[in-house]
Amino acid sequence: MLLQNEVTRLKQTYRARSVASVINSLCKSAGYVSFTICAYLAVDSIAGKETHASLSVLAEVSTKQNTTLGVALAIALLGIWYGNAQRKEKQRTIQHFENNKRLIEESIDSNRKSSLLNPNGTTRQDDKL
Amino acid sequence: MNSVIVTSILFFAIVAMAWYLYSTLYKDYIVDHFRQRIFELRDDLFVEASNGRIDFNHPAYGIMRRTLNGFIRFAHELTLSHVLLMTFFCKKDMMAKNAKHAFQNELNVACEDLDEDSKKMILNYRKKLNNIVRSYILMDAPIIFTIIILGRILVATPAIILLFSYEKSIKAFKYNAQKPLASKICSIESEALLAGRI
Repeated sequence: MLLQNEVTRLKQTYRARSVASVINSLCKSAGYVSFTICAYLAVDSIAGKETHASLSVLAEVSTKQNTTLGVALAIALLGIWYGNAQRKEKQRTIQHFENNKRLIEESIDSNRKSSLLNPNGTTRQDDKL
Repeated sequence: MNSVIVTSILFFAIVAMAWYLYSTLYKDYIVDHFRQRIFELRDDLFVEASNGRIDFNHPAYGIMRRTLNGFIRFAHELTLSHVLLMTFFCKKDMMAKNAKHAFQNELNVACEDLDEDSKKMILNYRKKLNNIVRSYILMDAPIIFTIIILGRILVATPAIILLFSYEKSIKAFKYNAQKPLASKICSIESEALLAGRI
């Protein structure tokens, strides 16, 4: 009965996991698709139109804004690169110490169970849906 | 004119980057953060056992260790949507509903022959684990989570006031405000224990 319960539970877990994974992927992609469509529509509505007085004023302001936005974008990209580099360094450090830690713990507890992650602390390919 | 077009492209590039930051980098970061905190908890438990506060071969230690391992291994899939879907599927299946408290039941049985000090220590670790899991789910989808909690407080509490007594409504309000996801944590723990056994 207990085993049957566990099997049912596992089935429900995998079902929930699969549906959640599909929902999450859809949400993630929907974000990018909607931004692309919005960007296209915005450019499409402005492109090819004659320059009016109000638009030329807007264009002057925009040139200054573009520089600011460009700098902000560049700083954000640098931040992302720095964050990723730090993450890789952390993973290397984990990998460096993992084997020693495992050996020490196994010498104390021979029945030690592992979390079955990759040595650098990332998710195994088999565990990804 | 061109600069207007460039502005709109730059604007959407920044919005898309913000979305990338949230949907990919932030999600990866909170998984790493969660795993690190569970690793710390697991190491602390290991040190307690090596200091002789509980035996390595005791079932209670095994259950806690396997559950922590399960959380570490499948942390990337523990999202708010997963928790809500799991609750939905379990409501439909009686057998799965029974298995919801598997962790709780097994831990209770395992703790029976433990001395008071060790039992207290194990339960304390469980409490810490619950707090970490709760804050992780909250961090996963902060806006949706806030809407759900506010919805429960704003809709459920007046309904209880109308249907039941004032005291019950106050209790429900406190429960919703202080212990969000409390009933679902049991189910997640049982899942993690199962995952730790695979």
